Amino acid sequence: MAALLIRTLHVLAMAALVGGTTVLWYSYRSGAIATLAPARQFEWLFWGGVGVLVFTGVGNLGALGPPGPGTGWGRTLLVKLAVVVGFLGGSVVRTLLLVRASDHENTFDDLSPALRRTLSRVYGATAAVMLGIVVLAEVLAHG
Amino acid sequence: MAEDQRAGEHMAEGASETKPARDATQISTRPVSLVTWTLATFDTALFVLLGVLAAHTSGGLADLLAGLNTLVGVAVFCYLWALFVLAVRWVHGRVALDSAGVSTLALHGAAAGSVAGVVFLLGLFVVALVPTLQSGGVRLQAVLLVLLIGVGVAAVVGGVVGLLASLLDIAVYGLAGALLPEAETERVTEPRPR
Repeated sequence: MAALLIRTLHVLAMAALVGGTTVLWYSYRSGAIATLAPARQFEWLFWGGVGVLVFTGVGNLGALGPPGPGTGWGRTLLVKLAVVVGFLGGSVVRTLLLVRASDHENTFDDLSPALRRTLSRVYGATAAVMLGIVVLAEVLAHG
Repeated sequence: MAEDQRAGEHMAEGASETKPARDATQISTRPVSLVTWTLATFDTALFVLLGVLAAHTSGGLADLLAGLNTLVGVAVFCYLWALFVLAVRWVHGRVALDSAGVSTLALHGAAAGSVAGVVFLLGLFVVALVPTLQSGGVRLQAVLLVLLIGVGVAAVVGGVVGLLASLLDIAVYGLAGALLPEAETERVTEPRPR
């Protein structure tokens, strides 16, 4: 029962982060969002979601009993872990870029086109990497 | 940091604030700033993932996780996460990430990491060993000796982790500043009337 709960939490957290990131990418790209405030609010959720993803991910591994790194499954897990570590590094830079932009500009003012473009790109890149992680997770789950 | 400094400025503004200003006040007067929450979660996640990665490459991950109950694992992670948040918050409350020297930040990070390491160990000790001690299954002197050595090791390991984490935090903060578009150093649009 606990394993099912952990797996469900893992999927829900990933869905929330992929969905939120994609919405922000499209909104900054199309100009539907012109301020920093929605992104700042989302970043709180994003990092909470990252914490949930990590502990539920480790919980899933514990429930599965992962085979060694020499197997095909083990190699895929190694790739996924490495991609996730890189993803975290990119994400922290994205969030801090947003915070530093807020230091220069009021959160509720319209953004400069350059910053809107930058935010669109970073959220687009985040969404793309997350989709790659989802594909790796599918390979681990279903082969 | 400007974010933390703004919190004080917003608190000084009176009751004449407009709605956006009040929203900004609510955001900036949270007990933990977005920078603290982000960096603490990043450090925690990286710490755990690098541990998992190391265990997996050495082939010992399955054995390591097999002995860990799922709910206990979740509780330990949340405890570690909370300690990272408190440690990063303590550092950011004393040293500004954007203006302090690297050595000052690194020293504060090491100090906070040492304390967090010891608190982490003591927390685990209270949960795991106190019930055993109460039932008389273990001798108190032996436990105290192990605890004394453990506290020393936890302080050193925590200090090293805190030092590395603070160096990494400074690096990503600097990188974020370097990636900020040039236009952001000057206001491009006129602020909305308040």
